[in-house]
Amino acid sequence: MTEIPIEVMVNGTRFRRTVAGRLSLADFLREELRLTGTHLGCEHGVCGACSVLVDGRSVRACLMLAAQADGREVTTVEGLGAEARPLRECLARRHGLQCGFCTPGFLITATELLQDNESGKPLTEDGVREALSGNICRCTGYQGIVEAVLEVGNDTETRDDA
Amino acid sequence: MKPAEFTYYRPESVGEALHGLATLPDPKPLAGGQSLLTLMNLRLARPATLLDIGRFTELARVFDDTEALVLGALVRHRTCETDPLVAARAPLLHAAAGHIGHLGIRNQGTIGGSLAHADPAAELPLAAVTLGATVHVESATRGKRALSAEELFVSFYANSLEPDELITWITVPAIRPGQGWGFVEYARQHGDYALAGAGVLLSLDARGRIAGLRIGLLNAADRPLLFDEREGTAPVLGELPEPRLWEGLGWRLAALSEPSHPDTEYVKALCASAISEAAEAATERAGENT
Amino acid sequence: MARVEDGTLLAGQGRFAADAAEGAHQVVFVRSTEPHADILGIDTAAARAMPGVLGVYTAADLGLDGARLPVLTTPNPAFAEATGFQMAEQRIPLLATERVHYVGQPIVVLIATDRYRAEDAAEAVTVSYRGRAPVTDAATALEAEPLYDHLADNEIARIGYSFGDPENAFGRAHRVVSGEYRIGRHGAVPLETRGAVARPDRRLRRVDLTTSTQIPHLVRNAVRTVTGWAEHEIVVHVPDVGGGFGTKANVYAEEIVLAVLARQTGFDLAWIEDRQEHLLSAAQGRDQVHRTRLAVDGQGRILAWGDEFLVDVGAGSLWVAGIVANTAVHALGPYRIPAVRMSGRAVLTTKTIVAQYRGAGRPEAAFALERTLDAAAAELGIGTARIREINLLTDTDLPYPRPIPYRDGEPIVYDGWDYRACLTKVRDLLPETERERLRAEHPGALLGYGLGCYLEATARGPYETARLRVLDDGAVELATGAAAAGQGHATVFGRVAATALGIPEDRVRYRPTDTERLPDGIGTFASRSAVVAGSAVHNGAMRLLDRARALAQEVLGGPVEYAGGVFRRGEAEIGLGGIAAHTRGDPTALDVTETYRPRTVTWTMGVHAAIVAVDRRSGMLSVLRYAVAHEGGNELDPEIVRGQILGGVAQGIGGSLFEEYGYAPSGQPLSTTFAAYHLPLSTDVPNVAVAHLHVDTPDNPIGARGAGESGTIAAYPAIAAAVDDALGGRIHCAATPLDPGLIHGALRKAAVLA
Repeated sequence: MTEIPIEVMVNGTRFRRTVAGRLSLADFLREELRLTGTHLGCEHGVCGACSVLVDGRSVRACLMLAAQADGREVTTVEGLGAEARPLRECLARRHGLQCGFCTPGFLITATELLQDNESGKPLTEDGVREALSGNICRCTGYQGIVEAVLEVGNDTETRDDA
Repeated sequence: MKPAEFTYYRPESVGEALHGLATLPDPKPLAGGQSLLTLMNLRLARPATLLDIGRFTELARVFDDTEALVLGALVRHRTCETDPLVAARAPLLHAAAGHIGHLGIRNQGTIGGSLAHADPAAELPLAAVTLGATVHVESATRGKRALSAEELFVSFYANSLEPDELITWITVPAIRPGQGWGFVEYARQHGDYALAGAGVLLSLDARGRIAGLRIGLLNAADRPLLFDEREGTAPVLGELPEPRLWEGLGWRLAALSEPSHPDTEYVKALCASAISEAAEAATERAGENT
Repeated sequence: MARVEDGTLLAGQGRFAADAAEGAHQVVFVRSTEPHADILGIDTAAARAMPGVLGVYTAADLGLDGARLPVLTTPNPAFAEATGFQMAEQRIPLLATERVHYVGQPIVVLIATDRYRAEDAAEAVTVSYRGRAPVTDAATALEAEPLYDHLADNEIARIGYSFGDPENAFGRAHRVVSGEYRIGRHGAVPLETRGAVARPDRRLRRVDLTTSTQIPHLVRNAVRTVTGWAEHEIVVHVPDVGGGFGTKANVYAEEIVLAVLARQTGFDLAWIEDRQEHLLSAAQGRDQVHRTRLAVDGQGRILAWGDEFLVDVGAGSLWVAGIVANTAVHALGPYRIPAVRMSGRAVLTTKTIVAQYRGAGRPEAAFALERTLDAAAAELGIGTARIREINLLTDTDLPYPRPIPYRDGEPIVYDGWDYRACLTKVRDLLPETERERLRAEHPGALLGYGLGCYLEATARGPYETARLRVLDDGAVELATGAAAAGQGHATVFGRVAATALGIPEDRVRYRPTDTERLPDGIGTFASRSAVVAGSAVHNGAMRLLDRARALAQEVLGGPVEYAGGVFRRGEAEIGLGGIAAHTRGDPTALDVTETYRPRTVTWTMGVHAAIVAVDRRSGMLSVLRYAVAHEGGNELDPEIVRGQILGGVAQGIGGSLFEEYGYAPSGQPLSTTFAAYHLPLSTDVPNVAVAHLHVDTPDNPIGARGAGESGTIAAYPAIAAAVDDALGGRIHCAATPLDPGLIHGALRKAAVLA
């Protein structure tokens, strides 16, 4: 069994570990670092629950080896900070989550979408739906999630904490 | 759904990678891993050695070579989808890339990996054959060679590369004045594999008649199917590009497909529709691109 | 308003079963690769010798030879008597020893230091089989050799009743339409798979089992039935559950085996199912065929209704009685139907086991009845809305008794207000004219409008429990027997308790269900929790308050006033916390366990409307608009009720358009990854407009009706009807998932004829 030394920046902290070559990034985060917010829903790249940001881009942590993350910067749901606060608040207010299992993946994908969109073009409902289509939610029917992303992206928030 | 044991090896250079491919037991290059790691998690692929080539930044470049667009094997789908150069020079590739899976997959998946994976239902192999792309490969022992995209695809998930060969670059002929393109696929869900899809590259002469025509079909056989002037599209050369012509051609070419889907009649009909719809789009674009 | 649950989940701090596995060894089950076979031998030697492997066990190794899963529901005798319900004994082994009946059936269990090595070892276990003929079709199964030796045939349950004079009505009706309607095999497929962690304590002789379940008490009871352990020897805890929808309202062999294995080995053990295992072996749903007859008069009034259905329960179902009875009862629908002939059978095949899936017989029944009504409307040349208007029960009919008892043995009386009002309302929310307006936006598609009605019995008993306890700071700790699986129990039940006690909601601490804190309970399924557990919480809170009041009077020496958690007598006052401190010697003083038993069910009715686009070129479908109007009770949290409807509709859309567990003629399952089993995505589900028509029910103290399944039930017929309409009647969709190939064929045929 090959043991690979890696050095990964996760949520701003540098971790040096030795990992099995076949260890997935998702299992590394969950089992080695105990960052259990990254969830495994399918382990074949469809459901998006294990999405994390690697060097700022969303990837499926089930389809990336921990060894591939060597030298990279990884952000998990636990590492989303102030930039995700409005999104979290909107998701809660608009009931964009029920069981919450898919929620970390949606937060990651939506964070990337909102960052990409800083150019200023307003988000459309179709655009948001398309961008989120790689994350499966089995509980909500997506409506609250889409509304929350639109609200944050287009800064249409006028209610609770204006 | 954890992969079987393998040896992970990360070469520092393309040269080291080629050496590894030639000398290590049962090696498999790992690029973006979006297809390979899926198969490995399902234990449908179990290479003894995984060669991580994902960090060769020189192979992640896209550049313009006057007549052609040159893409490193590690160019991400997301780059094909968003890079203005790709959009301008190879708009069909650009459009096709946007149909691949979902964002997280496109952020990681690479063009070289997708071509090597040789999935007949995938978008990039279809784009490559439709556009007449050239695939450049290297090996430690035999050096470099170039093959057409058509030559690369052998059968379901089988390419014509030797085990020690690595795809390094892909050149795609740039779109020319008078050319138009179309890409259409029918998938039941966004990002899902399409039941049928077609790429069309159409050249019109000065009189607006068909001077050249390449049509690719995905998921219509054990490899991406190509119809070009040598085979399949010659009868319409010199014709005016009209919807009735496309409809007839669509049905004729679709009849030659061999879909693996159980409802073959349906999928063939979809192939025919995809061809005519993509060809109509190509006609319109060719008219605008003078 | 945000839910109590949201903060931790949004932070990534949820504690799901897999997150509770720290320090535990990993367990993997070796499963049958054959749909139907005799087991000739099991060789575990190679696996035992592999690195990291701590043990490999067959049923015999665990003393579980011959151990079986206990069934979860048996019918009420009065109901069985009235409806001719019968069922045969099922013998589903915990671990197969002699014969396997489906691909995915557990045979061997093994322990390794991590999941990677455990999967390596699982590959090294060799099971030799002698294949038997697979049976993948229910009709064939009725004729096939019995799949189980103790049975004479493959019929596992049956029901049959009639009332009115159906044959006479069929004989003299203006029109009789008939049809065959199939609803495909699909299921809950929660985003979190099944999973459990067992931690044994040798000194206490107990095992703590944390399992992703909707029914912890039934899991505990099953462990006890199999092992003979005392109640204190097995405690079942519910972690955060990543969706259940019925498949986790089942007791699984894996849960019981894990507990037994933990006790036998002394190891902390985790079994976290992967997605392939889930799609192979977690209980599936639906898979019914209905042959229907509907007699109508010239105006479209229903004269008689006949439905003969067949349920394919795969290799078995612990819920077979519930599914068959639900189907047979709900097939009566929300209509004025004077005569009925109903019969149903459940059949064993060599497919994966079946449990309840959101609706559990109701969607299948609604699909049969609603589609047949649409066929009758077409036959009579009247609209699909018109035939419903004519037949829906109204305020002059309701309450409406039916001449059979419900599953609890109580007479059926629909306790609604005006079902036709829901039809009117849904057509306001989504008028048919919207279809014409949308046509301009979708030139490449044909658009259709469809309606579907449903009626669901909710809040079934026999009972549910709640426990409320005052903590030293005056906060109230709350637990319910109905376990949470994402429905917002902490928010809703916390609110019920806070309202009853007159204290702020943040003074209630909802504790996830465990069988030690609350030794008795039933669980979350069948649209029952809000009503039945909610009523238990309410009554428990009132009882707690009574006790507190009596104690406060003792302390303060006379009559007291109460407000906001504080009792006052003149200037003197004492809060709930103060009373708790005062009665410290008697910890039961402010600790109430309440059991609520509903008299019978309460009924929720609703109508769905859908506009569906059929792509002219491909026959592929997209749902463009959707609306639901339902007659529900007091909404304990309107946003949560709405969320249940929206999520339910999404699941109905999934089942209507994509989801299906396919089986090859060889018996091999085809839908073992998400590349083959397609869940609806954000691009497949439209926004849904919901209208809630409030009709209180005096039957329970909180006035609530269940709504958990309302979103799913009528989605199938509404969407199918919209496709019929889009094609102008050139197709009558009779099977789900709807087949774009078939629709495309109808489009082409029409084009050729045109």
